[in-house]
Amino acid sequence: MSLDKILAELEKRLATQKIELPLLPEVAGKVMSMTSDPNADASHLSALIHRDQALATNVLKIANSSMYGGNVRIVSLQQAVSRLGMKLIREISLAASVQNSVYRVPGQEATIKALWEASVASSAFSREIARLRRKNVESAYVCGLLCGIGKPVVLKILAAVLKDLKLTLSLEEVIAALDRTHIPISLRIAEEWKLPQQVAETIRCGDDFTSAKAFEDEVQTICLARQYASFLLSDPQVTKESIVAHPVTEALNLYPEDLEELFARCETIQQLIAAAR
Amino acid sequence: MSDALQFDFIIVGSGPGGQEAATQALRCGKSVALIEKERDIGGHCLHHGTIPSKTLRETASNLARFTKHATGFDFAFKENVQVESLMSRKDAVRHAHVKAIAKHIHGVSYFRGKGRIVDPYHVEITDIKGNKQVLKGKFIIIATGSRPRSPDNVPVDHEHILDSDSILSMIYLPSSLVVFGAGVIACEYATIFASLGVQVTLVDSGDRPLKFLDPELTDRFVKSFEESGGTYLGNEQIDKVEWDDVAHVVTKLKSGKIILSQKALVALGRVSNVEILQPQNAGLTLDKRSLLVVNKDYQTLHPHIYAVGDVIGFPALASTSMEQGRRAVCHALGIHPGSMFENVPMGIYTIPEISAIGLTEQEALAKAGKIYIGKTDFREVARGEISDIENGLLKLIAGPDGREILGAHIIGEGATELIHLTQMAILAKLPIDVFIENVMNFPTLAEAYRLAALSIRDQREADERAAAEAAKSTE
Repeated sequence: MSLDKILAELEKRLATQKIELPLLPEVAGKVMSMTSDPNADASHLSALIHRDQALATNVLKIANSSMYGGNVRIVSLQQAVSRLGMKLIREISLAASVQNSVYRVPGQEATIKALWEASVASSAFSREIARLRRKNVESAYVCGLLCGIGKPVVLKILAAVLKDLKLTLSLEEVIAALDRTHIPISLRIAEEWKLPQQVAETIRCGDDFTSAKAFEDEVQTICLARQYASFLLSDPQVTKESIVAHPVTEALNLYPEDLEELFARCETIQQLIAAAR
Repeated sequence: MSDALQFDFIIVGSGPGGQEAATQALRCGKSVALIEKERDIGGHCLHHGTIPSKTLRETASNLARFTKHATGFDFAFKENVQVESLMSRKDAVRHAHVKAIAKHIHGVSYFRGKGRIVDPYHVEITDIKGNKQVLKGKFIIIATGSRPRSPDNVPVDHEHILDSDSILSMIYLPSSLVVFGAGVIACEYATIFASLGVQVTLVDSGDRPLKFLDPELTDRFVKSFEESGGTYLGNEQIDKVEWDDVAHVVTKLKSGKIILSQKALVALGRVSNVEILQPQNAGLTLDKRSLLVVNKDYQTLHPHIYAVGDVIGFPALASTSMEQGRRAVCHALGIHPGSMFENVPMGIYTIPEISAIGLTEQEALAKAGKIYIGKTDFREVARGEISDIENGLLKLIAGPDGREILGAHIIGEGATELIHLTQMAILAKLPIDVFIENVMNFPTLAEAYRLAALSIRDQREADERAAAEAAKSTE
C-alpha cells in the first residue's frame, strides 16, 4: 500500500514539479561529436580530461585497474591513451563523465552504485550482442549506457518523497519504482543532450521491445542486454533459464548456442564493472 | 526417422532462390517445407543486403542530383547526420516485401530454425529454442545464401572496420571510408558514400573494378566515381589493416602506400552458408571456394538435391537466384522451364547504375569474329541532356550480319530498366533494326537505342555496299 502511495506522490511531483535536468557533461558532449569530427584526436580529448580533475582521476583509476593495467603503472593521461588506446579512453571518458555529472545523489550511494553498475553492464552486453549479430557495436554501446539516464534524477525526487512521507523502501523497491517512472525524464534528457535517435527509442520502449516504432534492433538488443546485466548483478528475478525463455531472444534470432556465448562473457564484463566503480 | 514429416520439397533458405522455388512447387500442387534460420522470411537480400542498401542509395542518388542542380542553394548536411535518417523508408519497404512474400508462399509449411542434412533424404531442424525435428523430402533445394567474407589480414570489428552487414548500422556518416574490394557490393557502397560527401578510397587488387563488365563501362564508372570525389587505387595488395587505437583505420598497402580513414568497409567477396547445413552428410562436395557443385540443371551429386543462389556462386544476384529456384523445381518435376536462361540481365546499383546483358565486346569478337558496335552517349539524346546525365553510355553489339543482337551494356541512371528492351529483343530474336523502325516515347533515354542501332545499320550498309562493289569489280 505504501509503495502505491509513494509512486502516486512521485508521479505527481514528476508531472508538476520543475525538474532540473543535468547538463550534458562537456566531455560526454565532445565524445558524442567526435564520432563525426574528422579533426578529433587524442590530444583534444586528453586536454578536456585534464580540465576535469575528477574525470582524469577516474580514467587513470580505470587504466590502472586489473582489467586494463599492465606491469607499468600509468601516471599520466598520455600514457593511458597510448596503453588503452583512444577508443577505450573515449568509452571510459563518456562513462566516467556521465557518472560524475549524473550518477551523484547524496545519501543514495547504494542505489546509485546499483544503477551505475546496471548501466555499465547493459552497455557491455549490448556491445557483445551487437558484435555477435554482426551489427555496429558503437550504436549498441551508447544506447546501453544511456537508456536509464533519467533514473538518478528521479531518484533525487524519490528520496525527497520518502523523506516527506517518512517512509522507506528497500533497494529492490527503489529500483522498481525508478524503472516504472524514469522514462519521461530520461526522454527529456535525451532531447536536451541531443542524443542519437536510437537512444531515445530504447528509453521510450524500455523492456517492451514490441512497441518499437523505429530502431527495432537497438531496442531488442538493449532489452536483452538488460536481462543479462540483471543476471550478472544477481537480480533474483533473472535466471539463466528466464533469459533463454525470454521472447526477445526469438526476436533477435539468437539460438541457444548464441546465448551460451553471451553467458561466457559474464566474467569479462564483471571485471569491466569492477574497473568502472 | 520413421516419424519424419514428409514433403515433396524441402527448401532450406527463404531468400530469393528459396522463395521462387517454393512458389513454383506450390503452383504445381506439391507440398513444401520451407526452412529459415532467421526471424523473418526473405533472406539476407531483404533484411541486410539489397533492399536496405538500395534505400540508402535512393537518398544518395537524389542528393547527388539535387546538389548538382542546386545553384543558388548552399546545401550541406546537418551536423552529425545519422545514417539511419538517410534510410527512412527501409523498414516500410522491408515490411511490405515480407508481407508480399508471405502472400506468394501461402500454403508452405514454414519452419523457423537451422536446417541440417542428416542423409540424402532427411533434414533435421533445430528451432530457436533448441528443439529438433526431422523432415523427409522427395526433393531438397538448398538456398542458404551467403555472408560477407572476413579475410585473415583484415580484422573486422564492426565498429571501425565494418563489413557489408554492419556498415548500414553506423550511427553517423564517417568523414572518410576505405573500401576493400571492387566487386558489386564494394562499388555500390563506394559510390553511395561518395555521393553522400564521404571521402571514399576504393582499393582493388585488379587493374579495374567490376572486371566482368565491358571495360568501356568500367572506365566510365571510374571516371564518374572520381568526379564525385572518390579515389580508385587499382593493382594494390593489402599488407595490413588496423585501427590505430587513436582516431584512424590505418591501411598499409604492399606498394608502401598508407591510407588513413575514419572507417573501413571490407567487401572482399562472400562465403556460402553451408557449415550449419552439413552437406557432407549427404556426400555433397564443395569446391575450393566452399561453393556447392551443381550441374547446369542445379543438381548436386544426388539428382534429387538441388542448390541455387549464392551457395553455387556467380552471378549470385537476387534475380538469377530466383530464376534458378524456379528452374530447379521445374527440372525436378519434369516441366519445361521456358525460354533461354543464358541471357539474364545484370544490374549493378552503383551511382550511376550499370547494367549489361549478353556478350561483352571481347566475348562477341572471340565468338563471332566480326561484330558491329553502336554507341550512344546519353548527352546525344534529349532526355540525357535534360537530366544532365554525365558519363552515360549505351553500347549495343550486333553479330557478323549486323542484325542479330549479341549484347548491350549501359551505364547511367535508368540503366537497370533500359536493359530490359535488349533482353526482350534478344528473347524474341528481333534484329537491331527494331529499334529504328518503331516509335519510342520522346524524350526518353530509350532513344539511345535508336541512335546506337542507326550507327550499326550505317556500318552494316557501308559494308554491304563495299561487298557489293567488290563483287562487281571481281565480275
